[in-house]
Amino acid sequence: MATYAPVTTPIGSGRSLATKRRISLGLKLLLAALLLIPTLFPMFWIVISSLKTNAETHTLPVTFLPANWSIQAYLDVFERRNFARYLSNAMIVAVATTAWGVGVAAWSGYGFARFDFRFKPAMMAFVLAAQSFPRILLVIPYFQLVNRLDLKDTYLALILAYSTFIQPLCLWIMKEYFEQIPRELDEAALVDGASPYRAFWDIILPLARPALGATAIIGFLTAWNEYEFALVLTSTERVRTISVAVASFIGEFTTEWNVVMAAAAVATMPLVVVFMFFQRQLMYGLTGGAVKG
Amino acid sequence: MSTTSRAVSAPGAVPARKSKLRTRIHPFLFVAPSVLMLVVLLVLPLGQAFLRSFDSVDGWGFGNYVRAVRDDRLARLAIRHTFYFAFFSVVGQYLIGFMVALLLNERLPGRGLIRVLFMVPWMFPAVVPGIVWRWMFDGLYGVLNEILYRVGYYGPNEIPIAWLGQTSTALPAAIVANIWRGFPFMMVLLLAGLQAVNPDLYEAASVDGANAWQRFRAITLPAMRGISYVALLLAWIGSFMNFAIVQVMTAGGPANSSEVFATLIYKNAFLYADPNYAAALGILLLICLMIPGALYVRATLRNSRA
Repeated sequence: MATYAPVTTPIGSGRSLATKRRISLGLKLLLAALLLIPTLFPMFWIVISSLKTNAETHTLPVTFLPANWSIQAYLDVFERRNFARYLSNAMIVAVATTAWGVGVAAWSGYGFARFDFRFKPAMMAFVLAAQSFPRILLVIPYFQLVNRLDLKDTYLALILAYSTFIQPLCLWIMKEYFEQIPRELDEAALVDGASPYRAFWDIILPLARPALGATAIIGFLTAWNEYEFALVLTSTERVRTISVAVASFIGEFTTEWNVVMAAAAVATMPLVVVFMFFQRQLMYGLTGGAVKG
Repeated sequence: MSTTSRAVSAPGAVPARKSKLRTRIHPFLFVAPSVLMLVVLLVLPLGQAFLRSFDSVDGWGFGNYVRAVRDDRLARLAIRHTFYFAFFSVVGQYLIGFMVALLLNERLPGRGLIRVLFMVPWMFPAVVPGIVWRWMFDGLYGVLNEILYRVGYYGPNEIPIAWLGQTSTALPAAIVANIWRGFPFMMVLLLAGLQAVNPDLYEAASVDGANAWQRFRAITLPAMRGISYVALLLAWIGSFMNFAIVQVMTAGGPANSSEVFATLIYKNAFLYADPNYAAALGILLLICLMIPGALYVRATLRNSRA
């Protein structure tokens, strides 16, 4: 008895601790599941609705799985609605804005990270503010300028307009990254007689390749998502981007919801791909400014 | 500030033999392209909008502004709706984002996958949240009413609620969509904050006999203050100037019951052909954003120096 007592007690309490832990784990998973249902339901609903026939989306009672699975909506999106054009428009604008934005951002980001100069704090504040500038105000002068310069329905107009927020965004992310690269590296090059431009180009830029990638991904996503400028600066399908196209499918006459949902799914597809492959870079770039480490 | 403390060793200043002019021109050449670009593409158009906002029907002056704050009932309504929209969006995003972040900070099987799943709403292009919630809130064929019907919320002969078609529910419905859209970003920021807390603190507190709630109040909450501040400001700014969700879901209707700043500006500029008045409204929106914007910029600049 006496020999058992000290042994059984810890085992007994250990067991109850384990059950306690298991219960608390179960509760946490249950809570996660409960929160995930409303989080994921809209995505589920996009897919389900897009696979119904138009008649079924306008039938009661609402079915939670299509009675007749149909890819008609997707065919419609590409055949009747010329969606390939909207996709390639969005792609062209996003890629061009990003390439230009990242290039300038890397160059200037280095300047912000390594030098001190007059008005630097003010300029950095300006760069930050420009990232979340109310676009709905900016579209008004842009609409007029673009009309006056005869740039309506051109890629150039969208690329210039998108640069107002993509470029400062990229600049900030690059600056943050350059600041993490030890200064000794470029200093060594300077002592060897290289110009700062050479130090930047030969030493720092190659080191910053992962940041260039992360920045490009964020720039691309932000450009792909844009709605206000694309809505106002395009009037035909020539350069209209996918965001505007998807929104414009609603209520032309009566809304064909299966087509709208298929369009939404197609518009989201590239982002899903980017998201799956570049999740880590994405997290780095997006929290880089606000959270250290 | 790291930049000043490093100034002595700044590369531009290292080679002493270089002339002062040359060392001064380096930072200029680096920074100039982006600053010039922003001036041309952002400041000049903004200046143009600013000037035009003073060009009203009764001549040059504050006519448009007087009209917005005194005469235009709709503008006052939209401003009120905007505050309402931003406030409830931010509160909802923060509470849900915090809850999910706390959950994901625990040791859970499949935590990486769960985190990705929680980020799904944030992955969609800006117009899609408005579109899908509009479809789900549809009064006739919307899935929300179907669910409510099946759980017995509606009687068999009751007419279901047209969520986006009646004035009392249109704006709240847009807020729901905006919370859904915005909480993942909140969660990402707050989770990063949680993971930066030193786990030894919790251990030490446990040893001292603090229970979970006490640990949360004494360790977690104070540690999250800085990141919460930045996250709340960002969410406020984003919601306050939101255009895509409201425009796509309700376009401000019905009967202006969900009209916000951004949709009203759009209407005046492009539907009522009154861009000067729209510019004045836009400047007012900018003014409303100045305080949270300045606080955000200050906090982020301080962060990036740390």
